[in-house]
Amino acid sequence: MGEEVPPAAAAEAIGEVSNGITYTSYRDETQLAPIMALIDKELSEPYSIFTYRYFITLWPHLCFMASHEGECVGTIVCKMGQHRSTFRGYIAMLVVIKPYRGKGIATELVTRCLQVMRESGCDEVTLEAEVTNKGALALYGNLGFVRAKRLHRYYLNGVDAYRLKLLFPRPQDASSLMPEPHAQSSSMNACQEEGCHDHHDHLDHHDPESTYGRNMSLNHLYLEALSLQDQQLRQPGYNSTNYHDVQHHDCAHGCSHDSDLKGQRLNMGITQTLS
Amino acid sequence: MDPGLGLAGNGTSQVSPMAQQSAATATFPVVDQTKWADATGFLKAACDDLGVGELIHGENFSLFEAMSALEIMDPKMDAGMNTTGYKTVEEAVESGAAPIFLTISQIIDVMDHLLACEATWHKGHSLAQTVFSCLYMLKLDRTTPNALLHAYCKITRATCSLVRTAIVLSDIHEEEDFVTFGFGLPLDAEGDNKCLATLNAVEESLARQLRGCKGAASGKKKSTEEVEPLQDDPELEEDFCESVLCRLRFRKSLYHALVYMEKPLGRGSEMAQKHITRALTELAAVRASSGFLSARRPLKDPVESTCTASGQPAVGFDESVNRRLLAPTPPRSIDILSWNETLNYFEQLLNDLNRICSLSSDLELEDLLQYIVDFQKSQPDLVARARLQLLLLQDGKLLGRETVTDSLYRAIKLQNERPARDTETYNFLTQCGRLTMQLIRTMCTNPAWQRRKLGRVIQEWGLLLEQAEFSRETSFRKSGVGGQLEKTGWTDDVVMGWAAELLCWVVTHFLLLGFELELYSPNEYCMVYWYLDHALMTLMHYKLAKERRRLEAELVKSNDTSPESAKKKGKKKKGGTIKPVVNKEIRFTPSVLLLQCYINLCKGFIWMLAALTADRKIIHRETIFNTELERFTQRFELLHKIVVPEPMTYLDFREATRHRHQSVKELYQVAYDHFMSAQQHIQELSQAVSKTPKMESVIKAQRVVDIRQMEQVALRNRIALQIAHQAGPGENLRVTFEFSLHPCFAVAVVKKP
Repeated sequence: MGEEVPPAAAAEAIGEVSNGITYTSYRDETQLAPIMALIDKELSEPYSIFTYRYFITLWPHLCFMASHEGECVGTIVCKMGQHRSTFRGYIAMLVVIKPYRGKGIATELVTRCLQVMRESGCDEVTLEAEVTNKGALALYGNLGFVRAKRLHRYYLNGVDAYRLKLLFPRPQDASSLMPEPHAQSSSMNACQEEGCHDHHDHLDHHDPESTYGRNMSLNHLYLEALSLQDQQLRQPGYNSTNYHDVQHHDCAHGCSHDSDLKGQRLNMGITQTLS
Repeated sequence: MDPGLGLAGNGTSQVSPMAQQSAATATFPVVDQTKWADATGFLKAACDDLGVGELIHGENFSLFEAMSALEIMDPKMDAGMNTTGYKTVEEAVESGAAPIFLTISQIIDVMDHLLACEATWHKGHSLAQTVFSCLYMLKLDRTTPNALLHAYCKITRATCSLVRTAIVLSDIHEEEDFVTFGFGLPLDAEGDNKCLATLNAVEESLARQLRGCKGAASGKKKSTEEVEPLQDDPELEEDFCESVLCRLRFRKSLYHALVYMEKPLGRGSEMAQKHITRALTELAAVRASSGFLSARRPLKDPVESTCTASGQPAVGFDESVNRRLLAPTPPRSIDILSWNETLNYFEQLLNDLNRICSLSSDLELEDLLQYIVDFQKSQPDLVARARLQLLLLQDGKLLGRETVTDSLYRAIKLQNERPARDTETYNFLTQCGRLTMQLIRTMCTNPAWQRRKLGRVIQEWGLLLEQAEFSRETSFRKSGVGGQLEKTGWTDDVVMGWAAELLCWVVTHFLLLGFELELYSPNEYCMVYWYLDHALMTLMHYKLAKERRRLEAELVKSNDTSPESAKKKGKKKKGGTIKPVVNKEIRFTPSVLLLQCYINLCKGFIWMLAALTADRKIIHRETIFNTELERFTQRFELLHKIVVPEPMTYLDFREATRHRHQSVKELYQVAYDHFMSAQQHIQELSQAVSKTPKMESVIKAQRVVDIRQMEQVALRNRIALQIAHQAGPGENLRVTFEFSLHPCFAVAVVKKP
């Protein structure tokens, strides 16, 4: 810490209209109040002003709003930073108010954030959602998120959570491992066109890191200091990781894990059936 | 000064007038040579300097601090804003919220509500908001004049203390499972080990009372010692006596059972089981008493979720008195379990404890692991899992008998006359022992946490094997017998084979657990069943090799005494110096047959998906930001870091599931055949289970359930295949997958769109 955060307004965002909904990037303090009002209204857990500012001041380009006729109807709040050996994006809060669900607004908000994260060099993106939140789970599933873990009684209402994780393709192994290179769909609207909008019924996934009792217990997981490093990392175009470094780093005992080599070394004949 | 992050409030900061005043007038005492200076002016200047969105904070101000911050005076966050209710126990008691002399119905309500609180505490809520929301529990000495209430509260406190100690010792819980923190509440009190004496005295006088009622009812002469009736209506006396007695006796039996289960080496198991049976009987009587109690005092407005048998609210409970003890978090009230849920909870707890007590003390490691998996199938709560863990690992020994390393030596000796006792083997087995302990502990945790921790176990186990392989490879090269490993893996090496088999088992358990936790989405089913099939086959390979070694060892012993020439089943041994097994069939144990059933179901499912996809009954959608490759990588990243089962890449998966040369009809047929052979093997498994008399009861019961479930899955999927095939090609049917019949194997549900 110690650096003054440059004014968020520097990243000028011009609203884009689609289906009557205007999408804007976070611009300045004047937008903080409507975002807070929206989230406070829709999510059960109260967040302190510090929580909002933590995310929005440090990653203003990872906060978007959806408005209809001047009213803010949806918002997304995210962050990104170094997590162990990967550069990781994290979706903290996502809200679309009830009358506007099922119109693909949430998908659009998430898609915008994911694009910024991908361009900023994120290897992966994570978030948590209630296991009962079918709408959110379907939305993230359609975008390529995998349910990596289940977290027992994660929320204070006693409901379990899934930790969802999206892995971005790694340029270097996409060509070597893919039998047929898939045509990357770059259309942002593909998901909406495929009709995933029926899934947004209960779309308000709680921000997992902010259930209070939980904060205490997950200290070790999320104690990511607001360090200078964070400030550097959020510069667009920063590429933090190299696949091979990651592999070596993962193994605490200094062994190289080269799965191809292993495959050759241990090619065992296996009995196919019993009889 | 370090402006940086956010600022609470609306951006203007003020130093309170009171602080200014006191700063101006106060004189600071000089202590420890510290010189105090007035910083008010400096602070004021600094505040004026701050703009909107700026905050003064320490270097360690992180997300954690930001999230933990509370906004004072905001009723949504500040628990202190709620000023309703009593502030202290004393205040509550003085106001008459907890009268000592209660009617018998009121005492029963207190007992019931307290029991509900206890169950809620076991389920992970704080002691302060559950058991100690009872004012009588907070001031237990006050209740002495009311012997019945006093005895009940005292044994409740003693039981809670036993439970908490066991949970803390087992150390298999997360903060979400259980709050061990006691908030300084009076949970451990001296003399509570004598709680039974108090209880027995009360029980005895009640029993006498009951006999008196019964005697009076049957017209016999009243006993000479007149006991004061519990209430005024002689008609109801007997029912009230019985209602109270069953509650007391339930508590007593539960307490006894828990105490006996603490005895080392499971020596108390038999006695504990007797008390568990008794407690279950009494619990049934408690349940039955609800009819009488609720009929006596019908509620004006019946509520579904009452915590007492009578349906009436209990006297003497107040959550607000402990408000100050809670963590500085936003105020939150909790829901106490309903009366019915409470009874169900204790019933399951007792049944689970009973299953733990039935565990035989001479179980082999392999069966022991299977036992834990099967035990977990009924989703036991933490209290039972903690007791299981304490029984399995006592003083670092398996079931308190021998160290895991010794047990491994013994297991290996069964297959080989001369287990190597060299340093290398010893070190390896010691490491294996350590990891096995870790595995057992992990398997007693809640399934969600368990799967995460299993990931770590798998990684460590993989590393251990890799290191061992490396050192062995070197020694093999020296002695010129290299090349062995390439063909057969470690099947000819007793020690390595054992470790590899265990690792494969953990991997299959890890993958299967993912289904139970609903971690996989339909577009991953194919890859998961494919990888699972691979792991199961590798496991089978090692299991059969072990069986063969066992037979060989037996043969060496009997030395050509059995001249049968039946054809050997299983895999032929390649090379080696011991005479190959040819004249005896490899025995198919239930565990081997279960594997075979799983393998058939996996293969059936993989081919079924291939057929349905080729027939355009299911459509796979592409995702925008990544492809199946990334999802495969993510899903099996962990398994790519270990040596067995041999890591499989995405390319392997694509190649294996492409089925370029088969027609749709052939694909349907192959899938159908796999489900057919699954059914055959399920039959064989069923027979094998009934022919194995010495099977652990928990394992046997679970196999019976498994068999029924798998039969249904195989049958239903065969029917679905037939329907889909008959419908002809194209998107004329909607196929979805459900886990309604088996937690890990899906059934295809075919519907017209």
